[in-house]
Formats: sequence, structure tokens, C-alpha cells
Amino acid sequence: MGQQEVNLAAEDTAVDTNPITFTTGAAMKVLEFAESTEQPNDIGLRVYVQGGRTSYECGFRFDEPRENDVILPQEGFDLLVDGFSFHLLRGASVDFVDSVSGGGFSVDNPNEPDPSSDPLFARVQQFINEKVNPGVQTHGGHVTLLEVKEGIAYVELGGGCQGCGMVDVTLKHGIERMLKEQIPEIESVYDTTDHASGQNPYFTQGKGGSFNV
Amino acid sequence: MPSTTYHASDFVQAAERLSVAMTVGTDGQQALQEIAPGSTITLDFKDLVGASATVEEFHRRFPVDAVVATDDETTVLGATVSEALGLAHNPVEAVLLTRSKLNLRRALDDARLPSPGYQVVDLGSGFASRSKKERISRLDTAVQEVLKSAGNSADGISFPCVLKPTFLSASRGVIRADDTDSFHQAVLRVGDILHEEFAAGGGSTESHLILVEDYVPGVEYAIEAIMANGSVYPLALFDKPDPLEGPYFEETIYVTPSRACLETQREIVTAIEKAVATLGLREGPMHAEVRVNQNGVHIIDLAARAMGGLCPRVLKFDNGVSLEELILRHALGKHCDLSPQNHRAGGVMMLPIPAAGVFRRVRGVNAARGCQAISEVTLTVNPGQRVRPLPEGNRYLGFIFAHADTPIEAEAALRRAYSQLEFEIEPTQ
Repeated sequence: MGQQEVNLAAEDTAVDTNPITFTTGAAMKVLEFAESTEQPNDIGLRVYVQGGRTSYECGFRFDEPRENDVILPQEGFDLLVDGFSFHLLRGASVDFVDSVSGGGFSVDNPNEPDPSSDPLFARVQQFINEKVNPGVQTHGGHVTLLEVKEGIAYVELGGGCQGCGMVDVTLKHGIERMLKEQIPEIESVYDTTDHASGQNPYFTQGKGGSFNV
Repeated sequence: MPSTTYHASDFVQAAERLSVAMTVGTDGQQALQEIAPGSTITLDFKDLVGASATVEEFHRRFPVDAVVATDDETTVLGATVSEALGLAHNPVEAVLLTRSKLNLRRALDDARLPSPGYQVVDLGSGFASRSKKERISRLDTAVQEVLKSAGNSADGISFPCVLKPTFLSASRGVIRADDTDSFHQAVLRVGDILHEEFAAGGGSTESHLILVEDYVPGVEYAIEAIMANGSVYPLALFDKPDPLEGPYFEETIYVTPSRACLETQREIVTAIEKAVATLGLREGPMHAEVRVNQNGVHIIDLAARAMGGLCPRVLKFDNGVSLEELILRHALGKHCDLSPQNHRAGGVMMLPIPAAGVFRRVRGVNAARGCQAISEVTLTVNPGQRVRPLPEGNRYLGFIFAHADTPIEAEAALRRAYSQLEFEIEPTQ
């Protein structure tokens, strides 16, 4: 997507042998879900960070492995983690907590952020909250700031922005251009979004061809 | 660029690599337009005068050095705006000839350049906006009148023939008919497509016309070129190894360099040069489709834009320069090497839509990416989106790209990668 390469996953896997763990109960629940939804035998479970700096909320779904994924074998299935999420989840433990409403996965993540510790992050966050999100919300979208590191703002786009055919116009001509103007410490914006999974992109690509004169 | 374009990301990246400040003009307001002035501008593509005036006003605040049209929908506006701003451009009337398949046919025919013989089925003014009952009545009447003359005179249609709307791209609504029954069915189907396009807010002043061309047997090629000061600089000639014989004409694989003999390649370039001169085109990208048989090179289509979809990614020029960079450099008057390129063999496969329905998922992407010589597999449809095959469909499921030492290897890699993919499309009622 026209952004500089980051390969956090490759760098980190060399250090940890079991960086994200599932409890036995959580692993059994995954297998149960896989069976009840008739997933193929070779399907993996993807875990990804979808929340912002106040908390790293995690998403889970069955998926195929992708290029640059970190693949972590668990009991009976492979855990798939993209490079950026891996960076934020290293050392996390996943459990399944039952409740009367059906329960859910609970993630104990030692990397949970402390927004007050990073003034630059706070400035970028404020800019996104006050300038960017009100704009993209008009297209049903939203932008989540995940991290600011070495002059790069890592963001995830959701809603109408996820999978949108014009997303790079929004990202480069809108967010990055404005951020660089307003906060000179920011050199670029890196999009961590899984656009292929976007369910409701605002602009979809098509052959078109209509024309009036 | 239209907001449905496939080209947005690649032009944004090209501008970034060239350190060029680019303003994106689209037909749908961009999310951050209000708070990032100068970055995007909203234009009504159907209102050439109004859109041109909007750009002229914009130019006074943010001076414009070049205008590039990325897709069919914007080529005429691009020429109109360039003319108004005094920038190098194609004559508007030349681009208009390329935006109507009927006008293109007439122009090439008048110049006695080989192109398919043609007839026009006129469904009457306002056809696309009429009720279904009225449309069917008009279609039936038109078919009867056309078939009366079939085979009875030099002007009558002959079979096989190919029906097509005059203004749609990428084989939409293009149907082969081999006899009166299939002709009748094809007319009804094209009529529905014309109506549907109109109802969706598209359409054209030619939404009541169906072009009926003689079917030209032969081998089909595509050519990509840059035009500079009226001269044609070929960048790539593509083989289309999957035969396009109908009834629908779904593009799948393009491979370059072409395996055609040098004489055929020269004849294709010569035919394109004559067509460009006839039409009066002068500047910018050009994409054309030709068919070659014992009677020579027949121009099937010619457009003043780059190739469609994500296909330009198959072309990498010296130092990794993309086609979009080349187009921007040319438009800005920067030096660019337009001599024939000696790049590796490359192939692109436009993933066909096998059935109508809701796209749910695709399996095997990783396996496809892992195939030897495959450089990229990109999906351009998201889960939950509706898809339809040709002739009605207007999308690609995605694209596979291969680069190899030879065209044969590139083509084989595309087929291998495609065989790994399994698309799940839930039929709709």
C-alpha cells in the first residue's frame, strides 16, 4: 500500500518461543466453534488488535494464513497473527470466560498501554479524534491510532474505510498530509488494516464506463 | 478518477515516489475534503462545462501543472480541463471519438482502416428510461426490423455478429450472436443492461443504441502505449492466450512480451499509429485491443487511458518505475524514457466471476501466492459484496501477477496460481 516495510514479526519471533498462549479451556472452545461452523481442517484462528491506545482490544476469526503472518501452533489449531498485532500481543495469554450470555475470550496482555506516558501519541490521538474521525465518519468510517514509533503513526481503519477503493487517497492525501503539517514529528502514517476483510467499504471498485456528453 | 476506480492507490503511490503534489478529482466527495483543502476536489463528470469551471477556479488557488485522466469516465473531462488551462492535451473531439464505440467505428471506417463492419440498432430516444413493457416492445420491433434485412443486402447484418453498448468498458454487455434466436436474446439482454445502467445513474446519450459488429475471427492482442506530440511509443504488446470467441468476452490473461512474430508485431504498431493519427489523439496513455487474421490487423477498441483494473502493475520499467509514474512524468513534461522496454516477461490474470451471488470467501490465496513466479495475488471484492459474471457484471474478483524469464513461464504460473483458488459465492434468489 505504498508504505514502508515493517517486519516486526520476523524480528520478534526470533526472541520468543511461545509468545501468545491459549489456555486449555480457550483452545477447546476454539475447536468447538470450528466444528460447529464447519471450518475446514486446515483453517487457523486469526487474532488481531483492533482497539486503540487506551486498550488493545482483540478480534478473533477463522482464516487462512497470509504472507508475513506469524503462525503459532496451539492445541489442535494454528494461531495466525499479523506482524503488527504480534508486536502488541507478545506475552499475552488467552482464556475463555463462560457467562450467562455465552461468554467470550479474555486476553491478559502485559503490553496494555499507558496513554499518559507518551505526549506525542496523545497529540496524534487528539488530532485524529478532533479532525480525522469526524470527517471519515461521514463515510461510515473510523480511524484508530495504535502506536506512534520513530516518526510513524500506526493506524487501523474500520467501517466504511476498511476495504474502500479510495482508502489511499484518504490516508495519504488526508490523514498523512494533515498530520505532517500539524505535527512535524510525524513523518508518515502506516496502515495496518486488513482491507480484504472489510464488510462495508464506502467506495467499491468497478469497471464503470458510463459517460454523458 | 471515478470513485470506483482501480487506479487510486497506484497513482497515489506514483505521485509520492515522484514527490509530486497530486490533487484527486473524483465524482464522489472524499471523506477529508473539507479539512484537507487542495488534496481532493469533487467534480460532476456528466457536466463537462461545470466540472471544467470548478477546476479552473481550483487552479487559481492551487495552480495545476498537468491533468491526467485515469479511466474512461474521465478522459473527455481531462481533455476539456487541459484545454481550458492551456496544458498539453488530446483534442476533446478526438477523445470523444474513443468514448463511443460507434463513433470509433465510423472514424476508422471513414479512414478505410481495417475494423469490423457494423450496424446500429436504434431503440429510440429515451429507451433506457421507459417502462419494462415499453422497452420490450421497442426491442422486439427493432429486432424484427433488423432481421428483415439480415442477409438480404450488403447493409444487412450477417452472422456471427457481436452486440455491444456503445459506451461501456471491459466487455460489459458484449454478446456474440450466431443466428436469429441468439440475436434476439442478445438484444433483450443488452437492452436490460442499458436500462440498468441508466437506472443506476449512469448511461449515456447513446443509451438507446446497440452496436452490431461483424464477428472478426483471429488472434487478439492488447497494446499499451504513450502518445507524445502525436507519436505513438509502444510500451508493451500483450498476448491474450485464452481465446475470446464468445458468447461473452471475458478478459482473463494478458502476457507480455508477445510471442507473435515480429512482422505481426510491426503490423499491429503500424495499425495503431494510423488509428491514432486518424482519430487525432496526441498525448498521454493509450490502450487498444486488436484482432489479427489473414486480412490484417483489425482495431477492436482504442482508448485514451491506461489499461484497466490493476493490470498496469504487470509492467515494471527501468529502475522499477511503474506505468503510473511514467504517465505522470510524461504529463508533467519530465524526462521519461519511452523507448521499447527490456523488462522480464510478465503476466496478469483478471480473476473471472464464475457465478452470480454474494461473495463469501476465497480459499487458497496463500498457496497461490506461494506458486513459483507469482509476484502478487490481490482480491478486489470484499466479503458480503454481490458479484455477477459477464455480460452484466462490472467487477473483477481480483488479479494475479506473475513475472518470469519467459512468457510461457509467466502464463503457466498464472494458471497454476489460479488453480489454487476456490471462491465461495452464495447464490442469490
